Amino acid sequence: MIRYLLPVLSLVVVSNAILQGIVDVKRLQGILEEGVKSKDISTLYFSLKGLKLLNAKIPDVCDVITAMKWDSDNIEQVFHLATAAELAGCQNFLNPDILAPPVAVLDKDNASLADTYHAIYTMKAVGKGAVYERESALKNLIQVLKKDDTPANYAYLFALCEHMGCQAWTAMHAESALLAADETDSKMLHFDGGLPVTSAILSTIIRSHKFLKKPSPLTEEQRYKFGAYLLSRRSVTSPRGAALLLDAAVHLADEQPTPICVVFKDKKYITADYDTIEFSVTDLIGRPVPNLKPEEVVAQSGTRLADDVVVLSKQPLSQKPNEQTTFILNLSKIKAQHGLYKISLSVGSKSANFNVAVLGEIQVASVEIGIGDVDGTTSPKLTTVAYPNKLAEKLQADHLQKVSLKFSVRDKFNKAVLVQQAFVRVAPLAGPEEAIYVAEPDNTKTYKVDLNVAAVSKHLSHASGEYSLTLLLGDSAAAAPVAWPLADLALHFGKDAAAVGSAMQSARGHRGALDEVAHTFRSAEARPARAVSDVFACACAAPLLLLLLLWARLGLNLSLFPCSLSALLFHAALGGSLSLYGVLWLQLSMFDTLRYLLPLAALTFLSGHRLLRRLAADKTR
Amino acid sequence: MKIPIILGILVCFSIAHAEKETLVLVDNLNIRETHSQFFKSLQERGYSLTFKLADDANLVLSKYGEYLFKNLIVFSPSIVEFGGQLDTEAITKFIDDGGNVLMAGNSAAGDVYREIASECGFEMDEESAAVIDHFNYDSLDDGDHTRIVVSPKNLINAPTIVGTQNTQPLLFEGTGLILDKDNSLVLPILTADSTAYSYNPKSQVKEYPHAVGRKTVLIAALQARNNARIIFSGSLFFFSDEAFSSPVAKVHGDKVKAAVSGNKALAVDLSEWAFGERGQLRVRHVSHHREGDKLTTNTYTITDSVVYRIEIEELKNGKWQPFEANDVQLEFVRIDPFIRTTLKRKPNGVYEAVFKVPDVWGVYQFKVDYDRIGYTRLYHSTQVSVRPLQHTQYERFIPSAYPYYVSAFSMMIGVFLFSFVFLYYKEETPKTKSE
Repeated sequence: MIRYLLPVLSLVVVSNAILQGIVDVKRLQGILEEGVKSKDISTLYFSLKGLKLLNAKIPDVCDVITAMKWDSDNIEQVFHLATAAELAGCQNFLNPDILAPPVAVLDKDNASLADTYHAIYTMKAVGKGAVYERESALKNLIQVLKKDDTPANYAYLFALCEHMGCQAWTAMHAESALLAADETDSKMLHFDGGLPVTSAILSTIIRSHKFLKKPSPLTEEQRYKFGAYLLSRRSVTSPRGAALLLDAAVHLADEQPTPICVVFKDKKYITADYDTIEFSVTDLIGRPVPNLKPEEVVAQSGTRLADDVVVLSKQPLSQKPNEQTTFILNLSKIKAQHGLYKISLSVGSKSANFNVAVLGEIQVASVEIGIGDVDGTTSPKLTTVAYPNKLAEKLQADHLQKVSLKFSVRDKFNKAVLVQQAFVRVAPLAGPEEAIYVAEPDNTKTYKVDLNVAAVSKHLSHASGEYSLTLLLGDSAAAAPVAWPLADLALHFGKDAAAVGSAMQSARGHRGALDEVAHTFRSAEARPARAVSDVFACACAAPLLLLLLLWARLGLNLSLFPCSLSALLFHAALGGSLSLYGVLWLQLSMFDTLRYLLPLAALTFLSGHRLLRRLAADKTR
Repeated sequence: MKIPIILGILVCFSIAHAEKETLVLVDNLNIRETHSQFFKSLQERGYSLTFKLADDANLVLSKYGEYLFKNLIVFSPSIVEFGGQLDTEAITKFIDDGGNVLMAGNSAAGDVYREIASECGFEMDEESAAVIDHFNYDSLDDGDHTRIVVSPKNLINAPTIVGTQNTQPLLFEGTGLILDKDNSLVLPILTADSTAYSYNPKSQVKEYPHAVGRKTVLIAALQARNNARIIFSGSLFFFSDEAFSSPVAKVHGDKVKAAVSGNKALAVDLSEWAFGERGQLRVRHVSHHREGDKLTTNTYTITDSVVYRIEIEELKNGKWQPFEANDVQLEFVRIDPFIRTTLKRKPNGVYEAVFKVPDVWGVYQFKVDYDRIGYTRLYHSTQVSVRPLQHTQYERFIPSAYPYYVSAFSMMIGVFLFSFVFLYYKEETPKTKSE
């Protein structure tokens, strides 16, 4: 229900409203003048078109235009080139071939309205655009339109009608075309397709009606809403946007009664020294509003936003001498009562609300600071500090104490006032941490804040050390905010504390490089000195050496050695087995060793058996 | 014959374009024009933008389980409830499935915004609260000191996200965000100054504001664990043509002035990051082998020297190019990391480490876990086993064992020689008595 009611309500409001903004023609002209230097056909075309609208001087760009290459399949490009040439006054420089593409388009049966428009206007630009059989041509075009009746196609047809002289048809269909406009927030009207289409439809309709000397089909509300839309697009940056915006704005501004725009000329606030506000009252493109009597600009009412007290009513604005568009509102009555005010301004039958700030200076007064116990056993000893000095001594406080601060905020007339922002900031002398507290006013408008040191601790990562205490005072009606570093504190946070500057644990997870980790290898076991092991090695070798020595002394009679194959084989195999152990120790694996050992062992066994049998046989013999 | 080729080409194109499909939800189609520069910059970079009213009854993000869009832009602060199949849950699921979201609100933004924000780990201040800074407001402010000037110094130190060319002051008008500082996935992209606070601009501060001082986050980002990226701005105005082309003049303090704000550069950089044009990493190739060997192996012996190489690429200007950094680390992990070492940068994005395998055997992993602010998380692990020495691989000829060696060999030599003596010794017959 409310949904349906809202637009109705806003319609009532909108129909006699004032636009709060203005199309900045100078800025747009700057964009266009920059665009004329472009080598791009469409940029150049739109720049020239915009400049023409402003009746500005058009530079000589004929050389650029003649040098431009164009694509004969792109009728839009051809149109841009031809029209640019016409605007620059150098059609004669054009290659006559340029007529070929439009003729080709017009010969086609199913040319779209856009193509037809471009083709016909290309021919017109070259001076060949005479149309015969107006009636049937219009009929054909209407047939095309019926297939696809988008606002864009309406715009093209309206434009074609201007050329063909069928403005009457435009006048007939203007109203319904305007009804097709989309509405945004019930404040703005625009056509599907944005600025280009909106601009084309508005300008063609207005021009056609002017030609027919008929009253404009745009209602006052529509004018206002289209104006609001154009204002929302005022930050265009391209020459194309600028030209389209200007086209629509100029045509809309020429309408009567024109949508009225009121903007702040300069400041939106007054101070004790500067107590007037200047409004500029103009049409959409910054020209004086025609038929506006200066006494019709009246501030109907002014109310303070904070408490809705009416401070002025029916105060006429005075026109500034020599500046027809500037109107001055004198607010010297309320310059002492700072705050935000709503001024309802009416121009003729229309009105709008403007917010105006009355700024006053704020000062801090009677500032007292001291340290007391949290449990309140000792009342804090308060020291007075005067703005903008800093407390000479450094205040020491530990986690069982609190820092008390009392102050009041005064205006220029030494009256205590309340401000929106009265914060106390405790921050280390360097570093990103900070703890901010809100000071609360009591009935006498005295602000008070108690900083419990233990509670502050967690906001400052428990780092004991030096901190500075800053008082921050701000208000939207304050001429200048106050940031006053009033004292230095040395805070001790007790046993939880970490020293300031010591590595703080990062609360944010593990991002970034981690510490490197190296593996500690097991250290080698302790070994005896080389000399010791050598001595023992010798000692171990000693029995064998001694044996050999003694045997050598005694002299061995090995005459029982039989010179047989079995004896040789047995000893060779035995020696081989023993040396295989040496090889095993040096390089072989156990399985390799077993493989080699098996044949050797068998050989040793067989040959040993045979040898022993022989030896036994020899003995018995 | 021709049709399959055409189809193939179409498929290629649709794959290439799937990354760029973007749904833009707006309050009214006028936003398309008031924020045209931002949208234009996206279109110039190849995004295909689909504009829809946020309460359009036919809104869908996915069809038959396939997402129609890779990116979502929500520029509709006044929305009370999304239309069609879209709601907080659908958007959360979209993010869970890897979709990127860029969202901008203002102080009038409703509960839908708050819900989505809290799903992403941010908290948005109450309705009608705006970030106020009586010390740093712009000269074009309307009197509430909510159009604040923020120094680019307050940006997060992460060039991947915010770019490198942020020198101009930024304009912001909107609500404040609060981040949980223990949540390591959310990032405060832009924070306010110490003097700022978030509150209803029309009233005096009676209760402690939700966001005060530097804790007031103006633009926040989230890179989820699935590398979905979300940018959440408290200000829709931040992305508007007006903010892009406005001059900046601070009224108080250092009276910073600039002919044009830095919003455009930052907005473009943020969108590049959010939609994955920057800060994407991938592993191209990984190899490891014993030092001196050519072939790779999956078994190492303790105390081997190992060479590990990883090739990392970064997406730059739409192409995968070698990644350059000096802090890529390798971990050699058996439950806990035994070794963590910084990889040396070689040409062509190759990173190399040479290290000695620990003397503890078991199943290990080579792990590269590169998680830096602004980059997608790069994680790669390869499993190898580390075994103890074979018996032939132990040390021979230990000097202190010489006595043992000597004993053993002397015994063997002794046996060999004694076998002769034992078998063939002939006692000399005592001739003296008998003869």
